[in-house]
Amino acid sequence: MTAPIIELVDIAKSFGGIRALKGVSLSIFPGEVMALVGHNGAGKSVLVQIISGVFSADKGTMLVAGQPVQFRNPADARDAAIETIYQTLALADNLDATANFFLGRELRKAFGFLDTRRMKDVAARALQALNPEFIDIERPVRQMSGGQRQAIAIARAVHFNARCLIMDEPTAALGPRETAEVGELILRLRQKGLGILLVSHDVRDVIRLANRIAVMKSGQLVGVVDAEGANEDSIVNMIIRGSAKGIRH
Amino acid sequence: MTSMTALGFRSWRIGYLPAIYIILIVVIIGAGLTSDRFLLPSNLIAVFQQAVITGIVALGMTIVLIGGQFDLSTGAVVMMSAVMALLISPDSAVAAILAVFIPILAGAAVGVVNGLAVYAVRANSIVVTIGMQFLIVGLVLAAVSGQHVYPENLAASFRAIATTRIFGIPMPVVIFAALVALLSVLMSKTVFGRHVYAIGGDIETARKAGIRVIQIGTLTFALSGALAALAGVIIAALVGHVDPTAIAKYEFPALTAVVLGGTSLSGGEGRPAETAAAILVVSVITNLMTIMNYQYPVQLLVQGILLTGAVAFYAYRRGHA
Repeated sequence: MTAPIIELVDIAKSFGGIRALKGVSLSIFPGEVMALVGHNGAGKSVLVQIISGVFSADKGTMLVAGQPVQFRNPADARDAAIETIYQTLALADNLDATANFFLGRELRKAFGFLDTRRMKDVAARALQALNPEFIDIERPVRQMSGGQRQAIAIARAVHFNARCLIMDEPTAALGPRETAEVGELILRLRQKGLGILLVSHDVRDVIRLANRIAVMKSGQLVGVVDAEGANEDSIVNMIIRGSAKGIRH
Repeated sequence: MTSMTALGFRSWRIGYLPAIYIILIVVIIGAGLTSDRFLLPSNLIAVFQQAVITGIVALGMTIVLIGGQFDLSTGAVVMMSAVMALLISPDSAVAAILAVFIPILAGAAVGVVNGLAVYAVRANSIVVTIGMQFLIVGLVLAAVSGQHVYPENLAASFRAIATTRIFGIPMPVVIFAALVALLSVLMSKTVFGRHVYAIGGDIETARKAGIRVIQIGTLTFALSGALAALAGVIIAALVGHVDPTAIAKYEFPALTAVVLGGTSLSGGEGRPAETAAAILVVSVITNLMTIMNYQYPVQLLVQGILLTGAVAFYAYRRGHA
């Protein structure tokens, strides 16, 4: 069997007196969409932020491609080819698509000057490969549709050779057509061999898109089930009761 | 009409020209028609000279504000550096060099402290920089016992900073123009500039993108401090003495120009060249009022109307963008 891209072993995190994560263990494999579901406050976001280097775990081990890692910041995670697409998409609304595409990783000429022309060419190619209708890349992203904004964030991640993509509620702010587009995109990325951790509230969506579904409640992992054969009721039951009793793993 | 800039943010433009340039041209033509004296070369140079000190302060403030923060310590830094330059008593060429660079380094150091308090400690920039203003004013007044600083001999090389003319243009105006060009390139063509816009647009996004927010943000304050200090050095060279209790408050006129130039009070938008155009607009209006014998209170009133009017106008524009 292929080795997991990311393996979390007994991860714990507290904020003051609040135990946000209580010993979570989870693996994500290449070419797999692992969905992470649970109520607000279940610990999904904290787990995502630990994998993406925003927080450090208090306890536990994280392995990337079998090697133990300790991320001090998001740049460390990205260096390990883990890209996160946040719910807010982490786009600077005042900048255009190219500036956002290369944000924090700008192509430079001598003396810290921006290589504007090359960045524009690369960003245009990457965005149009994902969505051929994406033509006007010079508008500020605040003027773009939710789908276009999502495409920038995803194209950026893929371009920078992500091996694992973490997507935090990617369709939360999208309409039905754009949600379907993003779904197609996720399936295409999965086929390319990327590991995807998909955080979502939409149980129907995750059953359609994911290979496996991890359910969290109150900072703990309730269980991990195969998406194939899973039904909405059983997953919702796990989310509410915090128990995987009677669920096929 | 609104169109987009290369960076992607909106600024109020008429055709391809930012509106503030059109306003500047209109104000100059209006002033020329109102007073025969206005368009005299000597008066136009006076307009520029009047703009330089506040203009240099405003340029630094623009960078800080694009990053989404305020620097209200600049007036105090101007005063501190003018006093420092004269206390070094530049009576030789070497002392003159020290009298230029030590105050500028001190201004940058003040900026670093402000920047670290704002970006590393995450304190409110208005409170931090007003606190710094009090601290500097108190320290300087204590250092000179509230007395006028009046060195007996100032080296000609020091005075030359203010008195030299290049093709008839006073050196401070040349310095100001060079700074506008330099900062325009810095903000639009370099990674540093791009990161400042990103931080001002959304600091959390910038952080998540791996931008070194603390370093870049602190550098914006250091630049602002250094520029304010340069303005103080130019005052010292120009006047040759400083009354620390009487030195003008530069931060609010500078802020007026920054806002009038279209820099967003919430960060992420603005350009040094448009601040420079705005400072010239203020300077032309002030000059015209002086020619027409309007007193200082009226000038203050007009400045207040410009500031509040510009804030209201840009808020309206952004709300309807």
